[in-house]
Amino acid sequence: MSQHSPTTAPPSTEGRRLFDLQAQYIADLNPLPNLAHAAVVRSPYAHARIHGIDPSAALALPGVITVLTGREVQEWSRPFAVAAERPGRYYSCAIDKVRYVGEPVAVVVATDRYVAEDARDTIEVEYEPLPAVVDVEAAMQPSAPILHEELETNVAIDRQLTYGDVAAVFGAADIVFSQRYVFPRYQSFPLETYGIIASWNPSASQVGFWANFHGPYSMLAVLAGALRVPLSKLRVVTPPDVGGSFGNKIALYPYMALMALASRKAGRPVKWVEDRLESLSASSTGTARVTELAVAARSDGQLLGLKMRLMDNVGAYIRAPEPGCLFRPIGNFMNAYKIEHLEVNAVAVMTNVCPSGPNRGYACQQHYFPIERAIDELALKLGKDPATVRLQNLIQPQDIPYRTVTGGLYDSGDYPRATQRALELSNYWQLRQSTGTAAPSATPVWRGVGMAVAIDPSGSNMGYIDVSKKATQRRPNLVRVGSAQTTRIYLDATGGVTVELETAAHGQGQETTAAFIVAQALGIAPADVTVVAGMDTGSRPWSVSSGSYSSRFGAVGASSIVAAARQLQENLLQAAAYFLDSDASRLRVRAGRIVSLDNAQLGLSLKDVAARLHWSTGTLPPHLETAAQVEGTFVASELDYPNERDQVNSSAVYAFTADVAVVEIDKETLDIRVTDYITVHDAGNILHPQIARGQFAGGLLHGLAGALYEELRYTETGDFLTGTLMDYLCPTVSEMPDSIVMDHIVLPTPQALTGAKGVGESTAQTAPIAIANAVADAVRHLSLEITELPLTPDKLWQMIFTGDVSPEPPRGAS
Amino acid sequence: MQPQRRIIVATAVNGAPVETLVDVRTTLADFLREEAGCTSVHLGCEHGVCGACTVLLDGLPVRSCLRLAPQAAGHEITTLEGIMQTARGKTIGQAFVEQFAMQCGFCTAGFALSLYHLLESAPEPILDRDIHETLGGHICRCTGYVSIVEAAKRLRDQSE
Repeated sequence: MSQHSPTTAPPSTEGRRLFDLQAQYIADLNPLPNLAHAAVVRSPYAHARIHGIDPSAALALPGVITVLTGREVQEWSRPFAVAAERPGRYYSCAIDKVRYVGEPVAVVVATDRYVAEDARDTIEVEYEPLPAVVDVEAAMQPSAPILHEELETNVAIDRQLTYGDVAAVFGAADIVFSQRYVFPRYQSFPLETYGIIASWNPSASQVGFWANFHGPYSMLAVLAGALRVPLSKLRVVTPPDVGGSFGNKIALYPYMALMALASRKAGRPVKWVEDRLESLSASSTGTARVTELAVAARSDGQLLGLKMRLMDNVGAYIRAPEPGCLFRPIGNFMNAYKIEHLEVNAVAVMTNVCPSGPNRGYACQQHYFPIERAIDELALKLGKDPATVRLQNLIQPQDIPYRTVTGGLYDSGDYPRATQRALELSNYWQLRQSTGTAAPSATPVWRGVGMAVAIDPSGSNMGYIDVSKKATQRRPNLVRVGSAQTTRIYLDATGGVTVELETAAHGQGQETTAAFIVAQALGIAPADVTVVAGMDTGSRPWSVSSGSYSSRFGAVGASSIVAAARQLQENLLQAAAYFLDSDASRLRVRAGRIVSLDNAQLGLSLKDVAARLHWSTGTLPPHLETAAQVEGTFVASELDYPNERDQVNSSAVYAFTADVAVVEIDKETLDIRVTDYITVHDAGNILHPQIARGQFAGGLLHGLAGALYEELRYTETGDFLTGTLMDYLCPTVSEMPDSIVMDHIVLPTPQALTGAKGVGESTAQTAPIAIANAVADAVRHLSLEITELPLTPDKLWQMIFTGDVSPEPPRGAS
Repeated sequence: MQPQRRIIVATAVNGAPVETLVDVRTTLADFLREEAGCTSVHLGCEHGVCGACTVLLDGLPVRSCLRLAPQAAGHEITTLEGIMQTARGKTIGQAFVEQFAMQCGFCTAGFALSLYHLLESAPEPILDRDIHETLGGHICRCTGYVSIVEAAKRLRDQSE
């Protein structure tokens, strides 16, 4: 075994595979003979009735095998299940009506992708266009076009949640104010699009999928239900390399159904790789939300209570895991503040746009944006500094563990300390002297500083989704929590160690981290641990909660690795005790050997123990017969089911983020530039420093994108405007802040064996808000209301020149 | 619909001759992936913006999604498979792996090829703004570019 210091984090296993030219992404795979290729016919209309589909020209083309339409989809499948009181009937393909631009209408299967796309363009679909609605509030009006006529409304969910005595605190408050906030629709934009190979083979025991799907595997139960097969009849293989997701690929499963049905019709395995226009228009988007927020506070800055009306635009069909955007943050609805009175009206509305779903930070940026903006407004109204108001209201370290009024259990943390650290690192108080209204006027830019704090929930308790139902409508005998994760480790006959995960990574470096954890436990080099990449539901243990989502790996997934490694350690000690005729409690695993505390001469190498366990199995006592194979399962504790008061501990652990942003706005062009970004995390124990750092920086990119650049835009009639990278503006290196400072404090969580909390979503939640607060500070002298993202030069121009403010005019504007 | 005209395309891919009969409309990216076995060429947007499919055509970076295979006839094409046969390519790979300058890896080959070109051809010294200009032609969704910039600067410093 190679020399190794266990304190040194290893380089990227996944990266090495890439530069060894051994990466395997879904588009690279041809796992079955006789693969055919699919192209999807999609709706050009936001809302239209389908009167007929004529595939005859397509079928006449050489190379075309078949065309699947809604007729077979309706016959062969069922609508996807979703936790909503009034769901639309959502199939993988439109049946008699299309409800958004890009909705699948038919699938062409051909011998080659070029031919399939040729054929797609010849398919005649007779549409009768209908009036469309894309605005969430317009769609709630009685006069609005109805997407799903049988429901007689576009409102899928309308829940009233009350915690504490809201009327009393609003009555007693010194100050009450309200504001309407708009959070935009932007998406994860993984660089690799969806890809699926589906094989519906009547003589095989399972429907086979190769897909860049990464969970949650509860979606496979939804998929099996739609395909009318038992879950055990699906086999899903995720390739070793998945080109990013950030939540987007959770919504792959409807296309898995569609391609399974296409394969069924074609009688051959079918491969489909989505293109970028399809991804932007018809994969999945973050949820757009309008919030009406009312704040009650004391004149000294103490927050007393909130009323929130959350209006989520979930697109044409409410699709699992929605309505997660309304309910995922329920335990942390109050962010990091000690507020005990809250009223929430949670509404999900269907409109003629692409269905929504998770996007890095799922629901937290939507939820915190109004609260964190309002705290800045409160500070302004009271003549206090926003940082002071935040520090005054933060939950204190001595209050932790802290049970929130909505049921969350904040397990660990020191929010004031992390916040103070961010203020220090950013020189916040000094910056205050030279930004906003204090900024010198003789400069070409307006300069502003803003901050945001966020509780970062990790490891979802899937039970939260049932808050979408009234307590009386829940099934109390089915506590849908789903919180287990399993890792398997094999010790082979030569002492080699193999680890199998059930998490299906998509860029989080889980192979690197898993090898590091197991190597540390056994005192061997990470390079001597083989982690099997990818995922296969046909050969590995898994549960409905398996997968990589909800920043799950650090707290839950990696804890199952620790559990497995500890079990293997224990088995090695037991085995060595038997072989050495010693007492296991006097033995230790060190540097790849089992050594005696009492006798330096006494010991066995890992290799010796492994060989004996494998070759001498027949002579072993029963407790050692399977000692070389272990499974470690970690079940997150404290995860409950929503109670009758709608309280639920919605996540396994809660990390914390405190960010400060500094922006400059060009007075002439109104271009907004983030010059400095400071982010401080408490993610508990850091499992791999470079990987964690990469997650924080990546989260910042997604948050910056949502703050300033990316928006999926539609016209009022539902035409899609942002189908290319010329319209949907992904930040490049040039848009990143000039200076990025990342730091963390470490308060391990007792809820995970790793002591780790989430790292993957943190800054994606805070950056849109910290940047918005900084912009608001920079333009404060213009009295603009910054209540909407993304903040673009165009939007600032509109606000300045169509509002009734008379600013210092941009140079050259007159 | 007209049957597609087919044409023999003869190129050199990573130093080896490739001669294949393809539809005239075959993109260079598809040609490299399907006919020349270069699966490091990744398609991120297929409209020339994201940079993932970048390859070197006679040593210059081009978007292989925006070219047709017949346009590459008679030219030399280099992909990640090609530069990994060189000392400089290996240095780039090592810097990326050690700096964690990739996460999902889908954009990485494009960045590596553009950096390879910068290191091969840029006037000395390579300034930070040269690095930003080179990397600015590529989209990465995972790293926030922080570690990629660090790897690029390390490579620049090593090459001085």
